[in-house]
Amino acid sequence: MKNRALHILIITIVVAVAFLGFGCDDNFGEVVLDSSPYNSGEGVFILNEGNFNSGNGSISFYRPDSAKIINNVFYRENSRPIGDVPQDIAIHQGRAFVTVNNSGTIEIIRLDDFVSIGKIPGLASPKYLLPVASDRVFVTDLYSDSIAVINPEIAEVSGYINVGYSTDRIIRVGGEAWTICWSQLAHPDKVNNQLIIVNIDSQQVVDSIRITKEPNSLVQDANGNIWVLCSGGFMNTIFPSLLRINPATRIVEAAFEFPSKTMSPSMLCINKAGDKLIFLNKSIYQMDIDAGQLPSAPLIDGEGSLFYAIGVDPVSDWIYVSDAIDYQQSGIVYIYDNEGNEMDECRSGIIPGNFCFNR
Amino acid sequence: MRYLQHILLIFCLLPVVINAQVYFFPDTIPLPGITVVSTHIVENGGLQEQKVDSIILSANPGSSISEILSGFTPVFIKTYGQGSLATSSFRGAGATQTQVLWNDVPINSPMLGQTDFSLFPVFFIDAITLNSGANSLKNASGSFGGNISMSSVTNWKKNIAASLHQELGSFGYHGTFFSFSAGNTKFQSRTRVFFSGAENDFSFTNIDKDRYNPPSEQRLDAQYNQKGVAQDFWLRDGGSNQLHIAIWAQDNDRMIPPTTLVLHHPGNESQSQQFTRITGNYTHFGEHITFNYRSAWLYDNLVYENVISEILSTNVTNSFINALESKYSINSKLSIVGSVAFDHHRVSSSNYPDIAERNQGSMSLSFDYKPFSWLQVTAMSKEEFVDQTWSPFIPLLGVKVGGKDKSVTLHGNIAGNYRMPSLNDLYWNPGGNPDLLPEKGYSTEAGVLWRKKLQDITLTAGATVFQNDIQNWIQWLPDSVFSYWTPQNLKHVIAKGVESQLEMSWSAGESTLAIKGMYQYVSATIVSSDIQNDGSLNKQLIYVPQHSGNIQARWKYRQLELFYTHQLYGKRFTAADNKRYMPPYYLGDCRISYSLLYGRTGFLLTLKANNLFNADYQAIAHQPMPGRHFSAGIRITFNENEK
Repeated sequence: MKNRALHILIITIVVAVAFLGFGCDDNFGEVVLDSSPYNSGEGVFILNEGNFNSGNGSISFYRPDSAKIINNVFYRENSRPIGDVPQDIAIHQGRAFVTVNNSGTIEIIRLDDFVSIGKIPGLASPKYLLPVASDRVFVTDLYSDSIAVINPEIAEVSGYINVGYSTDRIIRVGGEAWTICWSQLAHPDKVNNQLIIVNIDSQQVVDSIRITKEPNSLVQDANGNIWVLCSGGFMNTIFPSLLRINPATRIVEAAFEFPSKTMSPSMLCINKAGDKLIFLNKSIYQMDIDAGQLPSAPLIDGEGSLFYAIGVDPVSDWIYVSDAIDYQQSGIVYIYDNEGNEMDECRSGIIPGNFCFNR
Repeated sequence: MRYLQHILLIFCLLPVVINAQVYFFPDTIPLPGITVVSTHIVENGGLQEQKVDSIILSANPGSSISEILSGFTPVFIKTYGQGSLATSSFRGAGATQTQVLWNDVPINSPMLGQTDFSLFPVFFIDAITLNSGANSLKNASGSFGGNISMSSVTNWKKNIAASLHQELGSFGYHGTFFSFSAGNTKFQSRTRVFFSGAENDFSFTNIDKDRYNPPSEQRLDAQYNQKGVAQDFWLRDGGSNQLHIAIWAQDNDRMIPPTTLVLHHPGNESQSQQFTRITGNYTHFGEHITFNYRSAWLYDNLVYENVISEILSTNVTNSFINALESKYSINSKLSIVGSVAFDHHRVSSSNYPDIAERNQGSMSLSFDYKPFSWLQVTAMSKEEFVDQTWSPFIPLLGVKVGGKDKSVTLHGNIAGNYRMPSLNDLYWNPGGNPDLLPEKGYSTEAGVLWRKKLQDITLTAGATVFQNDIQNWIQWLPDSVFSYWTPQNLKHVIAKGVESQLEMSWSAGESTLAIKGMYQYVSATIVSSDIQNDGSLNKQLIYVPQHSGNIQARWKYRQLELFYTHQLYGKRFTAADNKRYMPPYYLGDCRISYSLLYGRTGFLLTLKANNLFNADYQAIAHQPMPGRHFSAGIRITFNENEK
């Protein structure tokens, strides 16, 4: 009898303990700490790529006037992660468009409260955005050899421009869109050493310029010339180079070759006046557009850090630099004035990859 | 006289079985013969082992070892779901720091240094033993966390027996398991064959689409298939020689689905892996000297494909493992064990520039001293070499107070440990770093085990505190000069914590009840780092829960048996600086079975409910897991003991 009672007691305890686990948890997905309320206004959007396939990318917002950063803005205002690897953001008519590279989507976000009002799915691997009209935004792509044209008003893809190459960063040059082929992934038989020119109105490819292997960034200077920075390929077989192209003649007028094949310069930016180039080559370098050679000494030393992206504030001319640390944790954003003095630093998200100035 | 010496030698072999054995269910039926679970002949002064009861294994042939480890042991399994990758974390150490052994042969991949537990069907395994911390040094070094040792075992019964087990379950799961054994007291043969697979198209709540109104979606591209055959032969003569040959061949195919945040491209990512393992194990029991020689050939062929990223990765590994161990009993109090091992690995991979070969080996010497019946001291010294590099001297010292007849046992040990970088760390193209230093460190533990038997109730309680200190921890990082990733020795990690267990079992008449609870606390943090501005300093390693535990209950009444397990996992951080985490979750699994016996033919009907409470959870961020699901099985046995 005593044993029987004990039996029942124990079974009851077991069942009771088992019920500790009862009930589904609404919050069973990844919980993100480190966020605060979003207030729209002038500031810098920082796109933190996160790790490929880990879904830990995010968007941060930095206010230069208060020197404060808000992290995980999208997650907080939309109660969901933005996707896998947010890549680029473009601000157009009160809305922000974000390409989420490995999710294949473009989020359309209302700037005043950062709530997503639409999502365009089904792109292959969208990279960079160029708004060209109120109803047209060009979206370049890594896996596809076409540029997608989206209509933000109806949140749909309205067409494709077949370029024949994988496309990456893109800028507007007058009535044309100039884009570069960074990767061979979409076309292993064609080398990634092309700059492609598309007429914006006709949406046709009008020309292409042969440049050095693996171009990664391009800017237009105060003289109207186009500068392209090429890293020479990740297998380090070719010397990286910085090229200057005349947009009228479409000829490479100057080429500055880097001293070592193992270098991987990237993130070419231009200052407010359009007369100084800034780029990343482990450290941050600055070069006058009429300089005769590449700079030998850095403006900001990157020793011990893992500098990943640069942005130049179009109003203050200050330089924003991200440090990815080890690609596994929240990165640091350093802010320097245009002479390289450190003005501020803050922690953003994982792998801050892109700066977009809403100024 | 000879009889006594036989008993003595067998007694010396049995500590592996008896010492700190955690009985799940006390069997009052005397075993028909001596079951030699491990031919390993090092005594266990201060080295703790835990065994998974064979009842659990025979009750779950359709499961994989990963499910057994997460449900019934302190090992934490990081799993991507049924049929998908499952790796272990033992006492806060990583998957590369846990060695897995089959029939005493280390089987971790020399390429990755880890093991995927989802590829091990429970059906092929008769016994699982965990050797935590320093205890693992007996078999192989480099396991800072511990070893997981699996083996096939015979009971030497003279008969012919067979069993056929068929299971069907949710999401298109099916499993067929057939076993045939024949033999007598001197020869045994067992053949096992299985086929299993599932569509795995479970529905889940996609919280990544909308937290407040998450849509229900279906998991696509998560199918898997496994089939395999295992053949064992055991031979022994009058009593002094024993030979065990085991062959295991298996073919595995799986699709790899994307996370909830990535667009699904049908048929994009897949993996197929075939392996064959052959081991031979010979033991000679002499008057004063007992030795064991084992030799194995391990073959592994893994093909991974990702259509969109244009990756077709082929990797073929061949390993030849050899070890010789010898024990000399000087007298009843003192014995010496010496062992040497030599392995050769050869990897041909599309990711290495050339074929990679590695020779490695070790030598060890240990002393076991038992001055009194209640005190046992073990001292061991080990040296390893990999190609031309010799490791430093790896020491171990352990003490055990108490014995199997005492109600309280105390144990403690301190040992050095050392792990060579894996072949991927050295030779991966691009990025492999041939200048990598080995990880090294030391571990300490101390524990107590208390046993009490009253009338028909047995109580066991135990707790162990441990600390693992590991330096030169290897982490892959983008190189500052090149743009690709390369492994470096970057961190110093200290993992410490407590493992505790409590067990109660009792029998009254025809019914028995056993309950066991386990709780682990693991603090595994990075104490120093060579990375500047490292925000992970003093933070918990990712995917290592601080708190975890499980509760198992088994109730048996005549032919009916009810089995319930409950797993609890605390918060797991997903970012190195601990700014993101996965919330805690609980999982309940229940199994009911009914057995019938007609003469020598037995029938067993089982019904299993997994995730009984239909919990929404994710083990890994953005990887969905199924809700409540079921399986049912029928087993027909001929001439086999029912459990």
